[in-house]
Amino acid sequence: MTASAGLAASFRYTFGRGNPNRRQVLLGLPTVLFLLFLFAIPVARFMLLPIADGTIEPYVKALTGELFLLVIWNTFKIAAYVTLFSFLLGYPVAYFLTVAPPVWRLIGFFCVLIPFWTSILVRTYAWLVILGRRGIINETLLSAGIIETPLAMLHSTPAVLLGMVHVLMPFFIFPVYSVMQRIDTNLISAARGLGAPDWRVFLSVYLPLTLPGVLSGATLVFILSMGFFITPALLGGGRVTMISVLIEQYVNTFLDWQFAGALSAVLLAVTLIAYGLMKWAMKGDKKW
Amino acid sequence: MSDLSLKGIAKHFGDVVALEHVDLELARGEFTTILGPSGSGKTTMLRIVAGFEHQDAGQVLVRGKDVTQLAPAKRNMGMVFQNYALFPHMTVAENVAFPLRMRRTGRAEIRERVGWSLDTVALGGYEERYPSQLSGGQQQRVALARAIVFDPELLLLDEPFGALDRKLREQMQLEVKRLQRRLNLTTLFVTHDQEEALILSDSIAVMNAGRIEQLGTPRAVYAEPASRFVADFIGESNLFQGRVRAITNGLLVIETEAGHTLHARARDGLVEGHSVSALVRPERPQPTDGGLSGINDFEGEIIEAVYMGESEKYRVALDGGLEFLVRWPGQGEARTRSEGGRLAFSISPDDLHVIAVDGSKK
Repeated sequence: MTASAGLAASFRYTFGRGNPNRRQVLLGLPTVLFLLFLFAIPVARFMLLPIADGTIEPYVKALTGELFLLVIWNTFKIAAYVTLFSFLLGYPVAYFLTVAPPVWRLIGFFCVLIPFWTSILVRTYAWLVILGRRGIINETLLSAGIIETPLAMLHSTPAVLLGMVHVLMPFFIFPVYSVMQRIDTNLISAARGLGAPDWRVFLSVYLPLTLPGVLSGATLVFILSMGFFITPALLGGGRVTMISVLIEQYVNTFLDWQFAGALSAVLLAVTLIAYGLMKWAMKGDKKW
Repeated sequence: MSDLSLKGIAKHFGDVVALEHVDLELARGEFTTILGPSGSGKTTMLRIVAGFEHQDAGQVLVRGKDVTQLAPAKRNMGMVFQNYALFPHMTVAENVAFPLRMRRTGRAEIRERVGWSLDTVALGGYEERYPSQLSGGQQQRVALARAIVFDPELLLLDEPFGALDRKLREQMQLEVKRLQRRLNLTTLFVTHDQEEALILSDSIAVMNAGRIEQLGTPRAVYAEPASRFVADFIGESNLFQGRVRAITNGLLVIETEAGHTLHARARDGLVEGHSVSALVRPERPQPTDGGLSGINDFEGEIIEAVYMGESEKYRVALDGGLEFLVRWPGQGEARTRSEGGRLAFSISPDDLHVIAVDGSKK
């Protein structure tokens, strides 16, 4: 408190009094320039390639071609499932981290963070090792005589979901945890004291209060899922096509950059729409 | 039959004893305050009554029925929390309706009860607001409305005025008191603020280290504290340590450690030789012209004078070295007593309250 107040004071001292808004804009300028020239402009150019060549035909193709619509729908579906599973699995973990005694909280954070700090590539390869034809699971089941032939677990939607949920769950857990932590435990006591059985306490009080965290966690996971590449590419093995995998194929295999640009534009549009919807859903908490 | 009776409640957390052996009875409509410093076990006691904590031993009876095994939700007690604990995602009306909804009350009755209860706390018209849009005092009223709307058998108040500024606090205290009287609510109130306890309570249970040190009316705990702790905790006090030297003409003659001689009204059970503490409240001494001819006459130098508006407080170094606190009504400019001046006063034997020190019987 005092430290941050002191910091704020020294900032005021350093930058004088002037219009705080203009000063803050100045502070953000390097980042803005960096993103503009090295990210926004190249990406915009890439997505606008067809326009630069004087045609909108690739956009039309991306939005009407049955195959592409299917891939977009598929991507959307996978992202939605990943979000749902992250909620179902991550919510209890966040709750555990909130209520656990300090030692267990530390262990819990360790378990969530260590994978989080590990490269996505490494984690995805780990799933290949576990799920593969000659992977740990198959070898164990075979040698135990439970199955005769190896199970085909890789290159399927469940495998992709498994890998993606694993990679993305921390992005759900942290926002939810930070909201849960701030919930006044007196509210729970109050609800119980006023006659609410435990399940009503959860549904009427706890869950609604954590909703802002759930929505921001879900937004993060969903948006990251929409553009996810490595995990679906490796665990899907070409059988599970998400839009980013398709874009990569058009860039690297078909060398059709125009169409890849158009698909990227569609991906961005769909993601923005989803984001807009979630923002709209979150508008509710403005009131409190 | 008491509305609430606690019988031999004991509770410890690990090695720490929170409650030793607490008995307490509340009659219908009685406002009882549990007063004590933090760590005295008062909050634990309230949480045990509400069912949020489970006692290690003893029983909680509500209207003669043992509720020890009942979950908080089944106890039918209205509680107001220190920070009100209003549900931030619900409107005022939804907050107040919450306990009724949990009891599956009909829609029409809910509307009627919520209306009644908000009117009772003078918050009609605020139904659609959210708690964050209300002032502290209004939030407090909502919490109160929510606690009384379902006609609870018991009202529990956990330091509900702590967060309010002084003026609002006094106003809310009186309102709560009036409401409690009007609805004849049996109320258990927890606070560390002795002033609040004196204003509101029918009876006060002063707690210290997990035990009730004294249970009595506000007047009794203020004027006749049962122990040094109570004397010290409630109000300001001058305490003399001493020994009963003689009993003459119905007066105890007490020789203090500092060498003063005090005369106090005799009390049953005190005989020559007992060690005692003699308590004088600062507003009790009467000014004199000086001279030490009468009994309980004192004189000394003012070492600190504090003007507090309605009263003035003097710290006086008595001749003989003891410090004494005097509080008299505030005086006009012309009659200022200032630091360095002399102050003479006399204490009536009736205004000296004698407490037997632990170890010797009262």
